[in-house]
Amino acid sequence: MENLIIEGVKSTYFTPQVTFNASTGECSIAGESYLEDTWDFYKPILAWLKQYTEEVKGPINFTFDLTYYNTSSSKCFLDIVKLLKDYKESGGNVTINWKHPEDDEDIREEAEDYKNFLGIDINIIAY
Amino acid sequence: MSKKFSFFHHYVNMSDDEVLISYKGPMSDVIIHEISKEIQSRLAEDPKSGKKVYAIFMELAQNIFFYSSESTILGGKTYRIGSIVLSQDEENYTLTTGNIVDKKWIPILWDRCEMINNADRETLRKMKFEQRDQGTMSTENSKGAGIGLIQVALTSAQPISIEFRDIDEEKSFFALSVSVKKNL
Repeated sequence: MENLIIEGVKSTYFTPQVTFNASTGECSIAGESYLEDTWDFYKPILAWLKQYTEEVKGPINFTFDLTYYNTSSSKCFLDIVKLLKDYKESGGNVTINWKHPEDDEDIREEAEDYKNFLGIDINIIAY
Repeated sequence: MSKKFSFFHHYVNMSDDEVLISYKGPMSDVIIHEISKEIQSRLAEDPKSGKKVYAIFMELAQNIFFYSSESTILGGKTYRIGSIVLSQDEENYTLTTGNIVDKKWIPILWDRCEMINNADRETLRKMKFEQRDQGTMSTENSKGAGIGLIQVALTSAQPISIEFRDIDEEKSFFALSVSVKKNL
């Protein structure tokens, strides 16, 4: 299985930097997420994760490291976290990390909500 | 020609705040980007509040971008029209948006704002999560996650105020205003 790399671009819209490694299971979405067609951007990302959990079945260390994202993007993050939760419940080795700027309580609060409402471990890391 | 509501005069009448940014016209992606950069640079010395104003602006501008009932065609592309004003007084930054809506949205928007303003923070967080979970990306008039207003209320931590004024039988002018405390 190939790695999935999408370079982050900041222009009229903001594409986050996506780095998914198929041999180590290290995955991160970093930067800012505000897209012209949010679903169009995240669909292949979810498809990659699905394929990884079905074919490679290796560990996943997933890191969200975003400084800004709109509510449309947050819907796709929920889909990602749910997929990771399903994988973990079926025996997958999953770690989720959510980094946020120290003074950004809004992002920290969202990470807490994913953790509490979905009932999944998320390491919330201020920097 | 129908008599149009004068947002500017209305705004000047209702507020003595200092206007930092004011725009009325097609809410294109390029304009949204330019205004967002202007907000970031104007509020750079107050980063925590500034980031909140920026995030709220992005959600409100996207509401106009997707839902305003007034539009224009530029270079073959349709753009929805709206107004956005950023102002300040000694304690707050205030974002006010205005756009035309079909009257059928008035009760929905009233109910939604009332529900949001009456809910405490924990309830809002839960409400946002549940609606995000149920929302689909494909439904009409829900191009995003459909939780923009709840997010705006959470980010601002202050009530949202809204106002409607009739334009004709079918349309109303919709104004929404929300503040962020300075120097958080």
